[in-house]
Amino acid sequence: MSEKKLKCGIVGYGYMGEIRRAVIEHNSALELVGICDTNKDILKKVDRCPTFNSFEQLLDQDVDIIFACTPNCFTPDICIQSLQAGKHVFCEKPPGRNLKDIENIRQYEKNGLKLMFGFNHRFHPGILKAKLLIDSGKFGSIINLRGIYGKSGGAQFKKSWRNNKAISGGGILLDQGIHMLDLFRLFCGDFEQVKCFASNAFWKFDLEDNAYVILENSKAQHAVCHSSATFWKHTFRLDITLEEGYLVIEGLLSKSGSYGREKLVIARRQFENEAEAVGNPAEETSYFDKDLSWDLEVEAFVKCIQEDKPVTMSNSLDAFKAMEIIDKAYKDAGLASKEGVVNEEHCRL
Amino acid sequence: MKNIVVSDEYRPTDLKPVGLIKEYAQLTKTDVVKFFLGSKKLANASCPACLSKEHTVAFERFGLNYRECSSCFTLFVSPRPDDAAIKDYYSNSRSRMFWFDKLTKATDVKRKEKIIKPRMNWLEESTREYLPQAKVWADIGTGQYGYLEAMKASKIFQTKILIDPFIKLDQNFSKGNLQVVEENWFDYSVKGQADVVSIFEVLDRTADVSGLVAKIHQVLKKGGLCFLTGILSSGFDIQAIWDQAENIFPPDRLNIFSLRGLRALFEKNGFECLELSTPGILDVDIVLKVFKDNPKVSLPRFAREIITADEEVRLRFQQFLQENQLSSYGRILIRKK
Repeated sequence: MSEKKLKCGIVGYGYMGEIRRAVIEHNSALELVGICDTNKDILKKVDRCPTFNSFEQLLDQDVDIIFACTPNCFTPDICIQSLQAGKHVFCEKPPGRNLKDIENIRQYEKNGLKLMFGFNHRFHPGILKAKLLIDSGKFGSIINLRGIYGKSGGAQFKKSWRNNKAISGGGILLDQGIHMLDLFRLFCGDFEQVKCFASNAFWKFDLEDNAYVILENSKAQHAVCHSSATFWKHTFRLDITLEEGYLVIEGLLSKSGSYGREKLVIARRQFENEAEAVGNPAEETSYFDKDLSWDLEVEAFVKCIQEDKPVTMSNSLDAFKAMEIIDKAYKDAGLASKEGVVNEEHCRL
Repeated sequence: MKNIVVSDEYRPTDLKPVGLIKEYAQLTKTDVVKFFLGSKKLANASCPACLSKEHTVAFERFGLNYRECSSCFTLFVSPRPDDAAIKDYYSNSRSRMFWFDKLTKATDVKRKEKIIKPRMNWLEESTREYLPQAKVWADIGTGQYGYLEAMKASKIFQTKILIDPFIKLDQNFSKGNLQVVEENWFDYSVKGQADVVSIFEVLDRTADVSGLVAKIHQVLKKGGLCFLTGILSSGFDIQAIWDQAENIFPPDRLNIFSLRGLRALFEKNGFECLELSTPGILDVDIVLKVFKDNPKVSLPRFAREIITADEEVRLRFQQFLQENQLSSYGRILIRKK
């Protein structure tokens, strides 16, 4: 007999809301029962699904899972109210605007209810394969990580809610760099020491458009992240140096394809025999052409609900730890933490 | 689906020393006449990949005709011997003895380093990636000593089965945890047994390709993986030198699939492709060798320009071939649906 479908509601029907709808409709264990957005023009375009213009109305429906796809400033309330109403929550990253937001959310995490955050990069094919190789032990321990992740902004960039501090809480590091920091934690665990420089040299927002973060952990592993909104060519690259070789994940399968073809380079160091090509080892490169990350992370979440097991990937502790690094980075870079006033109009951009 | 590109350095002669290969080819020529040409059992064949009956004669080798499928451009011998005759050939021919006694021994070290080790890494790492719970690995027909040792040493499978009627096990060879089934694949009747099947260069020398594909499907569990390698007609060196190719002769290369033909063959028989790569290293060097041996050889002008360019250009061109699945060495990973 087939298992009863889990009923899902989406809050916020922008870019991410649309992606989540496709994932829900693609998953045979899920059923979409409602979409909520405060923008009536957006709701008019929704077909084949009941719509609601208030979150409370959606929450009153027979819903098992809330997908929170709203701007950052609304994240804590949606997560907390959903958990209080006994719903499981899948929430986009970042988990709020600051460390305090995720601390608040975590206080309402109840036994039995599942809470997962959308760190989908963990489920990208290049990252999955790299993790598998590292966990096999064949390449020894990680010495260091170097990640660069950036985009160019665009015509609407200045108007985006992402660059309104009152709504987003942070700049490019919080919006996009958080994925790289989360991957650093995936591979090396927690980092205690955090140093950061940041600037807003080009876009002139009251948020950083470039952040340079250096991390160190108790195992003396180091990680360097350059998160940027001034990479005129969209870039994702993660170099992992290990005792016995190196891995490079470059390019990222995405909706637009602008980050290039996703690939994983695998190489073993060669200096046992000096006659061999030192410093230029044989490499194997895997090119990937299918991004299942959105589906895989939700499948993992659904499995936790169905089997009543704790969320172990992208859980609230992962979200908290990533935000803790960002909090330390912002403090080290001297970025002020004052909050502005939320303008609802901005949230729709 | 993945595509793999590798960088490594070795030469055709590392694996196929010129003198020994010439002798092997000569012995094969004699054996083909002895085992096949006198037989009345040669049968006309359709394209082994797409089953099209439309084809043209590509070239003749040792008295047998290679034909090119007009639909998927696979090269195949037709008329051809059946698998029983091929079994007889591999069991009793002088050329096969020579292959085991001389060729594989002379190239043992390089073969282990450049062929067997990367193949094992590929098989083990991809199994960890796609089917970490895999326990049973069955190899069909790859029986070479270096390979058997590697198979024995593999730690990720509980059960390892070699299905090969041609393997001549030395008295000193310890099978260890390896089950050796000295049967031809078409006699092997176990169903749904294996998580993983490997057929390295086996499809190339199989007469009944559809039968072997059905057998793989039968032996594998649902969701099981099959790793295969082979030479591809769509690769650069074969396209460039065509009938001048020294390494193409029957029965070792009874079929030379095009990449599209090979993919279609499996997709229409209950498999999905997880990886389709042409990580060949030697295309450019093979064409260069043919050109050096015979500067008057007929080559496409652009191919001649590439192979006589600086080494750096040749290396980059070889990488381009890999990236675009245009090398003649193919490796494919498929999964039973």
